[in-house]
Amino acid sequence: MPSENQEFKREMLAALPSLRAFAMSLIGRHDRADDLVQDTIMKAWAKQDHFEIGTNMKAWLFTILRNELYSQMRKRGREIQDSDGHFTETLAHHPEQYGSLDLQDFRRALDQLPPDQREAIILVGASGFSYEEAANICGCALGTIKSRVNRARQRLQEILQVQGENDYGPDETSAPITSRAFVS
Amino acid sequence: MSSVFVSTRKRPAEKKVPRWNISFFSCVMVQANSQGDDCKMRYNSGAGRPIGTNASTGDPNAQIAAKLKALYQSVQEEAIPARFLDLLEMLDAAEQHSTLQSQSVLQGRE
Repeated sequence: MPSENQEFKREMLAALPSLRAFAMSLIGRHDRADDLVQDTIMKAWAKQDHFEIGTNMKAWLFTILRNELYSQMRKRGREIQDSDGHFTETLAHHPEQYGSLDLQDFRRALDQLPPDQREAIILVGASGFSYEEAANICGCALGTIKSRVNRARQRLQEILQVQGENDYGPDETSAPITSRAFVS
Repeated sequence: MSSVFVSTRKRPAEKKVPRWNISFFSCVMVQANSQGDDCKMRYNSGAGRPIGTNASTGDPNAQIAAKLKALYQSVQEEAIPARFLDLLEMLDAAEQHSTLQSQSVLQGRE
């Protein structure tokens, strides 16, 4: 039994970097994202008997994190609506977390998506899950995930095109340098 | 450790990300050369189109995909904060403690 326990802990540790990236992409703030990751670790630890070693730990943790986020959002629903302006303001104070203006713009665009579209495009486009796995994590049909991802892409394009006209991002000369630093 | 889960799966509906580094550096070489002597590398470098061409005319979906991944990876590549390592140690220790306790209780009954 102790070896299984160690294996569980080891797999959980290995999945933590992507779990944090998922939380951060969903929420946009390090402090709240890490609080959510902590809640997820506690929940997962308590439920570890439900996890079969050798199955997909990452997908399992993502599911727990997602459910935890939505149950917290339901509890705080009114709070979040009331502080809409405040929320946007705090986002505006955090962008130095992303080195380039380009990514700050993208972060803001991502935050404007409805939550279901945001999580769909993150799971499929960044976390490396298949549409099927993403549908399992979100507890919805495959077709639903596909259409959410498509709508998310369209919406992001619209938002970013509008922003592009403001001439706010890096110019043509610096764009390759700033984006390269994050891609490589 | 952070790279364990990166890009092992197939990602559907995604176009290739433009390779900035190649076109950017060859453009720099062309510019540097054209300031000095006659440029030997100008034509065999294969570059010469304006910097940023890929960004402005490239598939917008590919750009969105690249930015989303860049954002995600910037967090994924951070070291795991100590608070989580400590938390796991604590949970582990608490569990071992309770296991030992329940074992000694059972042994005591025998």
